[in-house]
Amino acid sequence: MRPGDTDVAHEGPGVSSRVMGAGRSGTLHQASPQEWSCDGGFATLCWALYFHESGSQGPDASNPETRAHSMNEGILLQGVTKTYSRGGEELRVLDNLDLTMDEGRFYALMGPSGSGKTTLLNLVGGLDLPDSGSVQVAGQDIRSLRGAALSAWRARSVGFVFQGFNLIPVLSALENVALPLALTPLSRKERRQHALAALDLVDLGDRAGHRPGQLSGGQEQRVAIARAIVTDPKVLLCDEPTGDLDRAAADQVLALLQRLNGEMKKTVLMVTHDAAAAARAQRIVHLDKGRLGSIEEVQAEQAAGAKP
Amino acid sequence: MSLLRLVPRQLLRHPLRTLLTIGSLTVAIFLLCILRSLVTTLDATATTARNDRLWVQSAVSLFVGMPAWYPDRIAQVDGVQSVARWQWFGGYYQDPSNFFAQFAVDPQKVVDMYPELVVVEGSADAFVAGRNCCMIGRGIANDFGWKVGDIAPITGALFPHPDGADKAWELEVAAIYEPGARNFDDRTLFFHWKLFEETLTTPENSPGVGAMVVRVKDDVDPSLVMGAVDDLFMDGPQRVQTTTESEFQAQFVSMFGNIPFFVSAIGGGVLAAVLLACINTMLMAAREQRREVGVLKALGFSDAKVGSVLLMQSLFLTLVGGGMGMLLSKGIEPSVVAATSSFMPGFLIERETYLMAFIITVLAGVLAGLLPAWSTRKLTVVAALGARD
Ligand SMILES: Nc1ncnc2c1ncn2[C@@H]1O[C@H](COP(=O)(O)OP(=O)(O)O)[C@@H](O)[C@H]1O
Ligand SMILES: [Mg+2]
Repeated sequence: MRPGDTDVAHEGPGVSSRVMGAGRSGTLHQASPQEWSCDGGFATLCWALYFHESGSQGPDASNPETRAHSMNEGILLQGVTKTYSRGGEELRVLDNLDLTMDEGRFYALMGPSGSGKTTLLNLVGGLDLPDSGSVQVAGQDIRSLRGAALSAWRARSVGFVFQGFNLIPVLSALENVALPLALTPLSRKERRQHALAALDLVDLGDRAGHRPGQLSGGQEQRVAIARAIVTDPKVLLCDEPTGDLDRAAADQVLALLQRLNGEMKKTVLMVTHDAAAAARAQRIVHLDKGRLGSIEEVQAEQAAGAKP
Repeated sequence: MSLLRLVPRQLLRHPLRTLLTIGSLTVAIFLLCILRSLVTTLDATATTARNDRLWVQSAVSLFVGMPAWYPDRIAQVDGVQSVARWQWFGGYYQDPSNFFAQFAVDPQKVVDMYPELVVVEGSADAFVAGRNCCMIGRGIANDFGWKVGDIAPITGALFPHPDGADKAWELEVAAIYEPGARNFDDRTLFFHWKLFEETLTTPENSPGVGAMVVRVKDDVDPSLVMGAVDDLFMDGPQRVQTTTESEFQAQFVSMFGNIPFFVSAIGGGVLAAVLLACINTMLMAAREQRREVGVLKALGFSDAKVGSVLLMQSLFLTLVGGGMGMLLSKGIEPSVVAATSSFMPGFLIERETYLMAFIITVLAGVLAGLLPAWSTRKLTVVAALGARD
């Protein structure tokens, strides 16, 4: 698909504004027509088209009630406790934790090693379940889901980005990105288009055929981000996404996360050790020994100043 | 991008390991097909032989001749329709290594008694009509390039030609047969008793009779005829032993003793070993793909889907290996037929054998894949991704 194709040429901006909808209005539908020709613009265009086509899969669209009745479309933790037992010894990793994160915000989660950051992220992503307390993500109470339902919810509602990238080494960048789409009713061709659009969005459209081993760490992580957003989840969960990257690559990844948060209204929760990385977020949550330390509002200038 | 695409990719990750596993399966299934076919062929030989044909041989041994007048005497026994003389000739073509079975027989009688000898070139009548004529099986016709009308020169190792030991018996090919049943091979040559007898008879000496085939009349109990024939020569000059054709052939089969048992045991052992090798390969693969299993689960793929990627890898390995083993046995079957025809005619890999090989292949694939697939099912995402990285 090219920008000149009839569908796109006729419907481009219209689709985007219709698709992005009232609650999702962002910078995208305000883009002027000439911006469509630039790489990112083209990608976002395809993206918008994808929203349009597969919008019915989103939890919000398929279940309007959930949306209307829920108080918070962000992330809501109430009295969350998680214990691991190791060698007969009980280890309380999260201790009666209450935490609210607003929809469409960019959060950094900081804390010393072993303070339970990864555990928290796993609970929010439904990879693990708390011993007690409730976890609500985008209006969905995760503890009410089990097995296949939990997997299905995960597939459409959250995207994961890991420190170690976790791409499948035997698949090309494009195939890696297209992987989550195998769970959607999209046709082969559509899946390919969406995956290409997601790759374009992270500026790696020209590396579609490369295997992870042929990419740099920064490129691998951007492919992983493309994979995390290809199903258009509302929430992005990133566990030290820049931990294995050098400064320049880390900056690119952080800029990308900022853009996804700014332009596409993703709620981003990013675990990091790095104060400079955390400064790119809007709020910093400090975790200490399983308890909430403080929530720090990042100064607008600080965040803006960190932008390239 | 469907998950299935992962299957070949993962297998190609370690091409040598994949190749070795496939290779071991190929060998095992090949051995299984051939070994089982040896057993089924022996079985079939014994069961397709007929009971209305009796074999008469000297009670001393198959290799001791009987007096020349015995056939006429036996023909007079009640219930006997006809008697054909058979003499093992034991010759060769050009070189002793070109070994195949030749018999001097009563041609008309053999043609009548053995409807399973289906003449496909030339004619049975022509064979019967010419004293120098012979009828050969398709197998030797192919081996030596003999056509109808050609002369087959056979050197008599047991019965040298009287004109000199170097001189071959020259037999004209008048008919080529193909076996219509499995108790017959396609590598036998029949020629005229008359030629045999007249060539060897000297004033002092004439050849005896090696064996006879007695066709029992249709409504007569073969066991009665057997008893009567045995009784005939109870008091000499030489006692005979009469058996039904099936027993006669079973006598060869029993020469193999417990072979069927050993063959099955070896086949079973080979299979068990290869199954363990497959399981090992798949467990190694599952360990390597642990992290990827975690990723797939995190992305929202169900346990069943993730497990099936491993199961498919296993099935792919065994199906390719097993399939190649079956193809290999099919390809090698003619050579086995040629190598075994002299002592075990009609070697054949039955359809049931292929079916069994296929089922075993699938079962091996499922067994080897189920274990790792099951263990990935129990693996939580957090554990698979390494919760503490
Ligand atoms: N599966 C597990 N079993 C036992 N202990 C665990 C497990 N996962 C994490 N832990 C322990 O829980 C604590 C918090 O781990 P984690 O959430 O990974 O911390 P962080 O990501 O902040 O470094 C650590 O002390 C870790 O050793
Ligand atoms: Mg961690």
